[in-house]
Amino acid sequence: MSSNKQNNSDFNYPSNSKAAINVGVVGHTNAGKTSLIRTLLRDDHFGNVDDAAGTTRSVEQSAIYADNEVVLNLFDTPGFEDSSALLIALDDLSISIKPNSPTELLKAFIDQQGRYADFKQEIKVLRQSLSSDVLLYIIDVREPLLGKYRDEVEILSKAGKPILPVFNFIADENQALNRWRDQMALFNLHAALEFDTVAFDFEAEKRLYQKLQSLMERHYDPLQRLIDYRQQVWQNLNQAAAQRIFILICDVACYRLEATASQSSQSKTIGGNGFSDTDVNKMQAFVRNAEQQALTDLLAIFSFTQLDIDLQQLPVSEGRWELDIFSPHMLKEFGLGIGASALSGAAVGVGVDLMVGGMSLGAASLLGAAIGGGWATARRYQQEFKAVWRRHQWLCVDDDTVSLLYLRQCRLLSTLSHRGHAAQNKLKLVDNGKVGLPQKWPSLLKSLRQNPQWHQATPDDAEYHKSQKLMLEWLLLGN
Amino acid sequence: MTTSKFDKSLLIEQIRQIETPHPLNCDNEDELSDFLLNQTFHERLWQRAKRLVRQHDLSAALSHAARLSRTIKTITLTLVALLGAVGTMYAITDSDTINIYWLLLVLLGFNFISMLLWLIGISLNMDGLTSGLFARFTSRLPGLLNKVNSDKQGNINISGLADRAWLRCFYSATVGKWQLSKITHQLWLVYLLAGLTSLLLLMMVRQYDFIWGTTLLSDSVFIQLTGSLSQPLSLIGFMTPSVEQVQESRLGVEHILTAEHRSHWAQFLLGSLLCFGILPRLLLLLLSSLMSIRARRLFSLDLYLPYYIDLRQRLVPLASHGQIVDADTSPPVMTDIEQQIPLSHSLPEHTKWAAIELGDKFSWPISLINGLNNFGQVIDRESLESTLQCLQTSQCQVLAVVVAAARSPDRGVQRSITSLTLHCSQRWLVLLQSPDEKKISSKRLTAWYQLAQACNIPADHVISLSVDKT
Repeated sequence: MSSNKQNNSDFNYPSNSKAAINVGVVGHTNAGKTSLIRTLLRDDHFGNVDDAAGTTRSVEQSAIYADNEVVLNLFDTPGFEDSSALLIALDDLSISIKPNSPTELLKAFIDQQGRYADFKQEIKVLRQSLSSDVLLYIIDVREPLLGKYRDEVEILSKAGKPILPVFNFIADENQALNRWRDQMALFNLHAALEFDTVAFDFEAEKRLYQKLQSLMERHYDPLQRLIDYRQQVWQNLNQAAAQRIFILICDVACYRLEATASQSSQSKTIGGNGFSDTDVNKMQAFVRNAEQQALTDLLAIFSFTQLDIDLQQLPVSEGRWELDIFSPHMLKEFGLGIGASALSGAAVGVGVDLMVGGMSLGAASLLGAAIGGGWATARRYQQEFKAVWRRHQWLCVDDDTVSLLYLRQCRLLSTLSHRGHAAQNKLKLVDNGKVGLPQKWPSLLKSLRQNPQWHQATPDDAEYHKSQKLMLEWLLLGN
Repeated sequence: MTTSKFDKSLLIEQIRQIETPHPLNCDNEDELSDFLLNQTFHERLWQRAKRLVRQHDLSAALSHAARLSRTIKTITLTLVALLGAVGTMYAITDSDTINIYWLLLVLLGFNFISMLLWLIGISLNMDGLTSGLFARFTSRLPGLLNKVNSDKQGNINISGLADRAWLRCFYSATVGKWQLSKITHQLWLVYLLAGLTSLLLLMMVRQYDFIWGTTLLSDSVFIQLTGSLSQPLSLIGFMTPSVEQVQESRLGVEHILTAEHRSHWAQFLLGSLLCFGILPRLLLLLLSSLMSIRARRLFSLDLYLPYYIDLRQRLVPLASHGQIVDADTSPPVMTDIEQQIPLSHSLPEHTKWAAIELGDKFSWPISLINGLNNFGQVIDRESLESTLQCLQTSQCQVLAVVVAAARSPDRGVQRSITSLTLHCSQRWLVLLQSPDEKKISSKRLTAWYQLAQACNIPADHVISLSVDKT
């Protein structure tokens, strides 16, 4: 422990570092200790994670803050590899030195580490266990119940510290999980936690801190501050992501391109047969670009790296969606009806603003417009008046495409907010079939359509804020 | 002088606008987050923004909009003052008469309409009405500035981006509403003061007669109007014209005004300007200024923007990242293993079998093993001990140790295999796999070969065996 303190002296803590809780993360090799820490730190560069024994060979410290206060010091330790032999060695030593307590036995074992060169990794674990306030014992529940795991718990219990078993890799492993629970209960370890480092769930992280609260009453308040702070940060991330999605949908739904008369007069059907390729391409390029920018922002909000993208099997390659938004397959994939445009072979995604033959009535009520004066009304509708005068039409993004865009962002948000920073196995996290459009989607879409002035703007408008609030509720609380 | 929160937010927003298309490199940003411990996120953003301004010499670009605004404001105020003075001059119909109601209309009439519109606008939250022409001009400014500050491809330069942020902070939302209101009241106040000053100057140096006239309205309208306006003025001590004096001033009535008569009209005019024009505007200016200060105080950045989320993660880290506190002083020396593919192989007839930690996925013994040749499965210390005793008793020479290929080998497994095969002359390592199991990775295979080498099992004695799971 003294050596730890010495090493830690130049570590730059914000404040209260002396009061921080030292948490030893221990367990069998390859159980997911480093993965757990990565997830808690939201840092997929912490330590080394590999599907092989003995990947972590040093004790590595990191700290978790609640604002400016260090609440937890996490110590990643090498994994146990030969606990059965270690237990035999401890028993032999116990016979020879007759210690007063199990802790004294461990200390004596560490003092005589020269004699036990084979156990140098395990000795690091023992040393850290003695200097920690609490131990998180990580269990890969897919593993069979073997004697070596029982031996590990027996050895750790000699450190005299509270032990919290953490069940990892629990997805679809209910039976195994129950077996492990029963096994831990044999050691009087009834308080345990399910925390999947691959399929991360913030609630599980919260439960981890709550379990620590119950194990360490005197650290209750800082842990509560940590829970509150983390909750706030997590909500902020989700809120920011949802807000970004609203901006995307708003930009796309409010987008309009004035199409020239010679082409638009040929057809008024949704599908865009009457529009020039240049206009259609321009509109589609805008949508692609807007979605691309949103994707970049959303990946950045959740600190998603290419590694995460690969692990979560997001259909994203080099930061771009693999499947184009205007591909007819996309509509099928998201369970939307294929629009007339696709069926007729016309450009997908093209719609015509047919509301009033090219002139949409804005959401600003007529009364408001009238009171606002002729000038303001004329300014608001000047584009429409011009279009009517010139017999032009507005080319806009069709409803199916906007809906598709929304559904794809919903799925993305769900994936981004449920990943662990530690996944080593590719895992499909989101059930693609269950994302549906909210009941009030058509009315929201109508509201957006009626306010083209919201395109690429953040107006201080009650109707805008109402629409934003509604979509944020859908995205954050579900439809 | 301490910088206000609004000014800090303004600087931060300007930097955000600049950084969105042109990310700026901030030297030693990590140091900044350490240096600003215990500071709020807003404070950290401001410190970072200041550092970027110094580092990239952005001061001129950032103050451009403020300077431009000051210039425009000065010019506008001058123009408005001239307008007020000219309007007053225009009320002097010929060399020595002043048209009273024309003057009231020019100075107070339009002012009254403007105040009324402002009040309706502010009550019904209609921005277009609150700020009049000035608001309309400012709403056009971002577009105009963008055109001025963009290159041929439409990319806006740094100064243009900073200007845009400045305009957004000052002239949009609640801050903008009260800021524009403030400016509107300032302009009208200057207009009225200019009118008042001109009037005072004119009346000081020349003797004027006061007249009024009408074509459509009846005389009684003007008499009533004068009476209504005079009431509050009389209360605060201004001398106002009597009904007779009003009638005597009607255009066309041949009557030379007395000095007292002129003085009453002069006081009436000055009093009306002060009480119905300047004073209300001054109060509204005061209200708008106070509301503007309040709005600035309540101004907050949209910290949910991806830009700020990213900066929060950089400037207010959730955690410190790894520091080794108990290092591995002697990492294992990895020997090169010739990569082989274990094949199915028939073992000698008298081979004995033992399994190690197969797990629940395989039942032991597997079907092809004769019960007599089976020494059991090692799953803990006790089973290892009993297997070792069996081996010792049977004096086994050929032993095949079966492991689940998919599981990760560790030192414990290695020790078990070493102790089981210690006295055997022929050792085999059997990697058990199920046909429906996916192929094990080459890394895992290498780990088993390394373990075999450490247990003195030749590489060609590492074989694979495929059996159905339980």
